[in-house]
Amino acid sequence: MKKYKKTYNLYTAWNYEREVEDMNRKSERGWHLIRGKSFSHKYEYNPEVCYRYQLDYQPGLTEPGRYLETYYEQGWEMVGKTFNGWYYFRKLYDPSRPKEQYKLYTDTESLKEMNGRWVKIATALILVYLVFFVIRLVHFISRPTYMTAAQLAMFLFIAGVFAHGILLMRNPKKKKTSVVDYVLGFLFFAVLIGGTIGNLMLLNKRPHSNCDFCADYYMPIPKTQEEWVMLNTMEVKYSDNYFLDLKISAEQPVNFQILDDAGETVYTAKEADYMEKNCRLRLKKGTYRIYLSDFEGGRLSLTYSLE
Amino acid sequence: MKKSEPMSESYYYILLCLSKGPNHGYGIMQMTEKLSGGEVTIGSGTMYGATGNMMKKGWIQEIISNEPGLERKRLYTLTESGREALRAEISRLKRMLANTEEV
Repeated sequence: MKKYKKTYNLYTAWNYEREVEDMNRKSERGWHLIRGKSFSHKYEYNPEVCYRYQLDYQPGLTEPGRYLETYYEQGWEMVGKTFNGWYYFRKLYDPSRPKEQYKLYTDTESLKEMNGRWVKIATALILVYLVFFVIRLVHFISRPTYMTAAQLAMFLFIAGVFAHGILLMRNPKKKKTSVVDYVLGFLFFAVLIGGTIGNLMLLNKRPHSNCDFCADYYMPIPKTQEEWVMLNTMEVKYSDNYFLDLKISAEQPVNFQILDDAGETVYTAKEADYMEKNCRLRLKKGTYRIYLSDFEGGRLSLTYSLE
Repeated sequence: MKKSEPMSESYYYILLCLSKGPNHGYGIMQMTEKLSGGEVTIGSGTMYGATGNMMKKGWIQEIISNEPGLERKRLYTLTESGREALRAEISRLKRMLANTEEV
């Protein structure tokens, strides 16, 4: 009966040699990779044979037929492929044969070409993240929120890690299997996946309330709280800076007011003609109510947006 | 004719093997090992990249074999400009060797 096992692992692209070494070591102990994927490996147990493994990076392979034929002819069996263009190969190991026969790239020039393919893609990704960074930075300058600050930090971190990877891919001599690099690799995936999901969740949970309102009041709105007009309520799911744009144009001054859960006034403006842009409000988690009050009557037109 | 860049060992041996007639990747690799007495090995990744690049340069062409036993197998064949590139490299190497002996 055949024995199998599955492992979950994280390897960064610039440390692909480490992945190869790990697969070779496991094969020497009888566990042979039979399916390689980005984050998981499947192994089969057979103590009688030993394989040597190699990884190849071929994103956007244009001639898959010629590719696999060339590898197959030299005894390479493909045992996996990742979504982003890494291919896993293995060859039965015979210690009497020269070492070079267990390498896919036998000269520095072609190895550089392979590393160069990764560098090219990583450079494009850095540029994409830098564009995101600049777009969010512009937004941050006009409306500084903690959410945007977290996004900026994430974009910068991702671009930084790719830059670090490019440096190592281009100067393989600088590579060393250090704990720092392992931690960095782990952190990178955590930030990339956790950060992206977290960001989308925060964005999705972010409330916004707006209103475009115009009416003729024949009766006044009194000062007593029981008779105020409630325009809206807004549910704030997490504490952050929120921004208010407000425009009042009325025949008489009117009181525009935002109250929190406890009934405390967070914002108030009593004007007949008023314009406010980008007013920063530090709001905690809770329900906020937006009221109009203390208006003697007449035409009232009001626009606001809070987000 | 523009001055040609020195060729990598793998490129040179691939062209050299093909000058004897069409061959497939594995055949080129075996012939290279035999010619060089095991000194030069061309791995599959290197072979795929080099043949791809040389097809782009127009030095070699892909043909499908119809020989018995090798039906439908991919073979590479040298083009006229490939032969020219090889000739240029050989004369460069000869010149270097001659210069070395002079010194």
